[in-house]
Amino acid sequence: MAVGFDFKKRLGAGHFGEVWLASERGLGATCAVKLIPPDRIANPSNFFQEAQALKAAEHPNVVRVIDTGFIPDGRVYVSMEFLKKRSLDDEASGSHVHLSRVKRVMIDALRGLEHAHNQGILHRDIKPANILIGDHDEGKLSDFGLALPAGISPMTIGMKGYLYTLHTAPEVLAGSPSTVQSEIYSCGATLFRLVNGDMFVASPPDLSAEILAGTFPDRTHYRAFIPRQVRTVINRALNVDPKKRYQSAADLRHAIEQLSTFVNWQEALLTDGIRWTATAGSKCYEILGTVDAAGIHSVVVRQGASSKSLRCISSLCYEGTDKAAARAHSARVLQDFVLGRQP
Amino acid sequence: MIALGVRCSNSDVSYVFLTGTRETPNVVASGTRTFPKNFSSPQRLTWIVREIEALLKANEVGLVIIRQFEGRAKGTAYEDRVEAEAAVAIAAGNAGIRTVHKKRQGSLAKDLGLKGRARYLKTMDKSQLAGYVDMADKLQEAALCAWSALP
Repeated sequence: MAVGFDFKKRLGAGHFGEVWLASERGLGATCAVKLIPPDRIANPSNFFQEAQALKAAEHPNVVRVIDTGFIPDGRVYVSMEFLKKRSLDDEASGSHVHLSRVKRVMIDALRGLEHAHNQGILHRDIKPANILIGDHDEGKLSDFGLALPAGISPMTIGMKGYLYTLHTAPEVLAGSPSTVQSEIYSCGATLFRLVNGDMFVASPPDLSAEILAGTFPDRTHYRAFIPRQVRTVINRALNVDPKKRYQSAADLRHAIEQLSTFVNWQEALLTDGIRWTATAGSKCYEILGTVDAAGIHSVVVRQGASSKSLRCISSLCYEGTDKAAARAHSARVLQDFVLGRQP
Repeated sequence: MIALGVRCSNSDVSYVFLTGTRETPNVVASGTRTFPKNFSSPQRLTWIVREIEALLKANEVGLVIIRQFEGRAKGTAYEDRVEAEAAVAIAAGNAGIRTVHKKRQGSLAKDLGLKGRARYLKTMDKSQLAGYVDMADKLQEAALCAWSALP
């Protein structure tokens, strides 16, 4: 039977082709269709590898594959469920994502990854753009275009050596095959980007060398409100030594599950400082870190029932000439709120 | 046949998979899953269902025995535990397991061939179950549940 789609809108395009929102003519069902020109197929020895990997990794936290084949112009298609909330990358739009959101979605995505690993499949391309948001706000792993059975080198099957360097583990950059631990590194890089935003991962001139040295991304440089516990989990996932990382997706998931995220801060840059705002339960919070013309640094912490009725919590405020002390103070207060240690 | 014994609390789920017979039980797997922090009640219950489903998928379980809450106490902690026990039963149902029992200490003692009194569990010889003495209290209770279901 000839397959027919009514292509409605192009959702995106990348190295391996295009993704379209389409309607399948037979059932009238809406789906996302990935179209891959034959010369862009990652594995020339198996045009349908992506769809087959998706099918083998079928799980509530993996995007559901519907069908695969060729369209009349010769391109390979992979039709999948359409998720209208798009990806974490779309949601972040270069900025950071709320900690509680990152936690929930990554727990889900890691469940999907854990299942794929249990089926002997390595994803090899974990990044925010490949974590989609389901209708119930759950995370779903997508894009298995580079996926391979564990233990098989891309070279042995003539697979193209495409790598997204930013998320690639140092040992893979050095030529070793992908492993479960290299996927953990990619998850760590994904987490780092999501909690900080893309401005924290501006590529240095020699990106590969810095990744190999473990100096990129900068594990000491996080947004002020990210608590030490979160940094520790991400930094362990990003360890240059694969043996010192979490050894499985389940291990990383369990570590993320135990992170506290009581308050989600929003950060706004002002001309004379930074303002963080948050809402938790029935309360609103605001922390204002500013410096005046005389060089006095102040941290003002306020809370109230709404953003228009904020009152200063004087015991948490700071004023002084020491910039480092003011920064440390605001970071401590911000992180205490995230950990639920403040009123 | 593999029997799964589960002991829930308001903060975690302990589980032990046993195979063999009443006389020669073997531990297939055991562990404790701590509930995620900052999850709302519905999120937590969904999480429990999915965790237990994953565990059941990894082991071919024939029946599930849940250590039932004993007393008549009231309060959030106890309600949370009872809810968690229900979530385990739902997961077992989703996995197609038709035999799911909830047992108190008296039932456990009886099914382990003792007189039907909780106090006999304390003096029971557990040397056949390797590793039992090294288990935490909740794991021991889960192990006794699974053990009581072996033929």
